[in-house]
Amino acid sequence: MIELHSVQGSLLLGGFGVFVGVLGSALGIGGGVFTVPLLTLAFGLPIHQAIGVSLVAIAAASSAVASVNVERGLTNLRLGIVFETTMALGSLFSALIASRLPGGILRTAFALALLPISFSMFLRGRSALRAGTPPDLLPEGPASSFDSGFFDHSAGGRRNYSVKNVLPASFLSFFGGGLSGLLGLGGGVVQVPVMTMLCGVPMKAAAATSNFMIGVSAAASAFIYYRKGHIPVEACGVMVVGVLVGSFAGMTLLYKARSERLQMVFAAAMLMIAVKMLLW
Amino acid sequence: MVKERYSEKDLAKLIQRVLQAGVLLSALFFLLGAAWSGAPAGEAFSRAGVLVLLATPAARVAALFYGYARARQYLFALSAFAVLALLGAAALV
Repeated sequence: MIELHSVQGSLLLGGFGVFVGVLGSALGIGGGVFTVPLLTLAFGLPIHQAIGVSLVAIAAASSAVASVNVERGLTNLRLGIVFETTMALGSLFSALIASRLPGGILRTAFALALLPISFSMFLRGRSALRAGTPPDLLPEGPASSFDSGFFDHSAGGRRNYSVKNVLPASFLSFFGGGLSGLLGLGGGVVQVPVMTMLCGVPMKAAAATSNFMIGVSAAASAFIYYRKGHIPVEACGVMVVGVLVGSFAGMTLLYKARSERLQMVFAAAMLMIAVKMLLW
Repeated sequence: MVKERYSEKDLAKLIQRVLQAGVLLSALFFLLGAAWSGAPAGEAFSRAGVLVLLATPAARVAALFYGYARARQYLFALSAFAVLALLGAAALV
């Protein structure tokens, strides 16, 4: 066990911040599934405080990264705000009925559902990588107001894409938001596959949009933890410094790497989350 | 000449400013908190840092509401308003 206010403690906490920053900026997930148990193990923090610190770090990564991504057009603002709404409604709904649901079964079912999705994301990313990136994904069918595009450094050109299946994706986002609330996940692990696999959003834009969204849900939960006094504020400061460093490192990765490769890394992270949820 | 309508670019700029301001301000508070670490003043500064950080996503949802209302895209404005209302509920209830 490491003392939180020692030099080693600060370095380790900052290191966790870097981890959250990289995950958030490059993959669009909060990483609470890993950070929370590590924080409790390393510092002996009570679980509520560990969750509180992790939520603050996710909110920090989201705001820091989005402040750059929004201007670069990587964040799909319209898609983001619509899914934010359904996700928030989902978590509100699940908070109301949480006590009537069998948590253990849900957790196992959710983790099992992640497995095939993770494999299929990985395989699709790999075959797209082998086929070579299509320069432009526009447009089959009518244009929707969610269509967008961004300058892709790895492809050396602008990559436009059209967004499909917004309505079914909104439903999934509702259930995703609900489940995340129940299982203590941030929701990125649901939103990113929904956007890439169902809506046809390139991985880079999906990561940026998911990262944009999870800041809101993390802040909403963090408020509740703050009011209950579960947020050790000085520890948050140390972690946020690490988050800022990690965010900028992750952003460089996001701009330079190919979407398909990021998608494969995401699939691997998803698999780890599923395995972790099944084992503990 | 008629003034052009509020565009997606204007909105992106606004969002960017809100987020940057929030992150920089909270980082400043955290630095002050670290400078007075261990003292009550340091605790207060760190507390302010956390609060600014948590208010930043809410502020950018409010900015989205304002921007989409000005651009007359009422569906997205309504979405932003709904999120804002739910955030308010989480902060107050």
